[in-house]
Amino acid sequence: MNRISDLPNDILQIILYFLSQKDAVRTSILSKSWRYRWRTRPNLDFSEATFKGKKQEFLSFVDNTLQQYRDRRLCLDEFHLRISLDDCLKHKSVSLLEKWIPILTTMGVKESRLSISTVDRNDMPSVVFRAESLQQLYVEGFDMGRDAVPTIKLSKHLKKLHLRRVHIEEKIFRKILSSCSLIETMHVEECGGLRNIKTNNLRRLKDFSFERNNEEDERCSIEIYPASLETIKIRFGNISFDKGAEFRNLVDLDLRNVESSRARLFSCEFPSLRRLTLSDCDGLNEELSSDRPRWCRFPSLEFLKILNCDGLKDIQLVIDAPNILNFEYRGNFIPSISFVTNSREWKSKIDLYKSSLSLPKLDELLKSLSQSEISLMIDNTNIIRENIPVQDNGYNKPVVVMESLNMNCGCSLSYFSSILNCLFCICRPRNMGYCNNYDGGSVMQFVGFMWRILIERESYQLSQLVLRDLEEARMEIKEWYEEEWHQAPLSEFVISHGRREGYFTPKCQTRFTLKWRETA
Amino acid sequence: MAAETGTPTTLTLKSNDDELFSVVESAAILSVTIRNMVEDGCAGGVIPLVNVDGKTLARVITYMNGISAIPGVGAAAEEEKKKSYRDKFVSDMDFETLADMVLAANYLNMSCLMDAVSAKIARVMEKKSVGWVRRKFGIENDYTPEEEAAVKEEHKWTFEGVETDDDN
Repeated sequence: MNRISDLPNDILQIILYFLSQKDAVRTSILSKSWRYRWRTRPNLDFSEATFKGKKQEFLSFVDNTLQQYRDRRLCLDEFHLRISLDDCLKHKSVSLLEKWIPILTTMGVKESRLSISTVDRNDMPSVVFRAESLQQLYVEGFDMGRDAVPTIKLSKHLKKLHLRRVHIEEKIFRKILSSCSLIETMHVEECGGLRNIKTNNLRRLKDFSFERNNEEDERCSIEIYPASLETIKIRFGNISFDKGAEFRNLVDLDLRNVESSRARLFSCEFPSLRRLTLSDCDGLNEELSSDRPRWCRFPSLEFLKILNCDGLKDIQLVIDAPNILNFEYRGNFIPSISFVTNSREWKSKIDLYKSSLSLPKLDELLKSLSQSEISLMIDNTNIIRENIPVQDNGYNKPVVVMESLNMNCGCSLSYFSSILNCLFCICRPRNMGYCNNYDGGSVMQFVGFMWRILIERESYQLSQLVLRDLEEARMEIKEWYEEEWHQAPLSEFVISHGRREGYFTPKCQTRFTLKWRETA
Repeated sequence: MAAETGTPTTLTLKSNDDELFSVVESAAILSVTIRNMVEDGCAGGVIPLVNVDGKTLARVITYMNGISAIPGVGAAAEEEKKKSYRDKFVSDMDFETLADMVLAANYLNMSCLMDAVSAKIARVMEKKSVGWVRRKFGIENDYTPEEEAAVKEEHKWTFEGVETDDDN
């Protein structure tokens, strides 16, 4: 039996609470008793964007609604306003803000959020500094540096602060931070004028991010209080941690273009860290000595990414990460990284580009990752073929099985086959492909070579070792509209590839699947 | 109670269509209504729940068992897992089931479940036409055509890009 029509009022009010502002207002059309019901819920969410450019109507709507709530002494727990101060109604908007914000305070609104943005560099309306109940503030594009602002402080209840393209002077920023010590989230994005950020007094800070897009001469230096933080993200900034600091609650650490020598990363404790990304970070070698391996404990680490960190070149790292799920490395040298883990199903992705590669070093790396599903990309065929001890019967130790190997080409057939033979001494990939799908000419060359060497088994290309162990090789193609790979003859590839016009037409993918004999 | 022996106490719940269900007490007291009944000494026999039918009660019990099984590894992680469980729990319910659920959660005084179901109902409503909402909620349109047009004009920004036909 249909009991929905019996839903009591208080349940309807709860459902109303969860509707967007627009849908809630729309319920006024349902029936007479619903006409003003939307205006009784304890949450208001006004966003200029939903009015699609009719600023005057938006301002009137907010003004009328807020007045109704005040005059009828209705309960208002949550208030969210998103407004821009760019158009000809700019001054009107500011004076209305000066009217509304005090209303929020007198009404005792517990959670108020304000987003103000501008494209021109206006001064921040001073009323924002006087908003006593603000919980979240998003400011885009304003100038917070002028002396015109009388009292520099923000609501002490502020929990979330997000500044984007705001021009702010350091002493102003410091004053602001000292006035709102309960902040839990702080995002500072592209804010010129800041050279130094100290957030040590923010004992509740959980989520901190600092981003700049350009490489500036002098990077902003950042100090934080470690204990409360759960997420840290820095781009083009210099963060420094105290030696031995314990990041008890940190789950996600993402550092890009950071001078990590001052970070003293490896002398800190990260018991809860699940994701670590280090990209283009210089100076790692300054912290670590190169004479013996450095043991790094990450008891909760699941995702590790190390990209373009030159400082690791001569460092040996042992990563003790029992729960690792995914390791990604990109660089122009083979790192000396090994893992200590119980993890049964993890993946590693190694991308080596623009460097000369030493086979023994590569062998060492692959062996240390052998418990994972390895995808290796070699963007350069300049391989230094130092001797890998190979016994006469052709077997070394068990060769590392790899999920995929993607390579470059651009050389002669005999050189290419000698590279393959060397690589097959240290690894047995299940799939092989070309590493750069956009370079039309080289893909053709790669596929042609692979076909001749692996499938046609042209004489004298593959070594005895490989011939003995390679049971089967097939070529597979997957068109952009297909979900599954299918086996294909060379002719199909030639036709399919030849059909490609233009740089951006979706390509078909090609790979070679290899079946190797099980070694003891 | 059974605290010393370590075996969990089970309660017997009876729906309004006389179906009986057995639930571990620690899961059942997620309902404040049931908890109060137990504290009032009602647990000896069967706990009658006059405002829930058997089909809905079965689902509620699945929810209770599911939520109380989530281990408490740490406040934030635990809360995230519970939220994810709730989202999944309501995700494949049709509107009629959601309505039964919200009434049951209200009667049983289970605020987190109530919020999750209400939020889901709100999301379902967002995509529907005015006619659909009126039908489903049993709301009779008592506006005259002029009044209705006036309301629409007053809040015309909310009707932009939305179907207002009665078929849906």
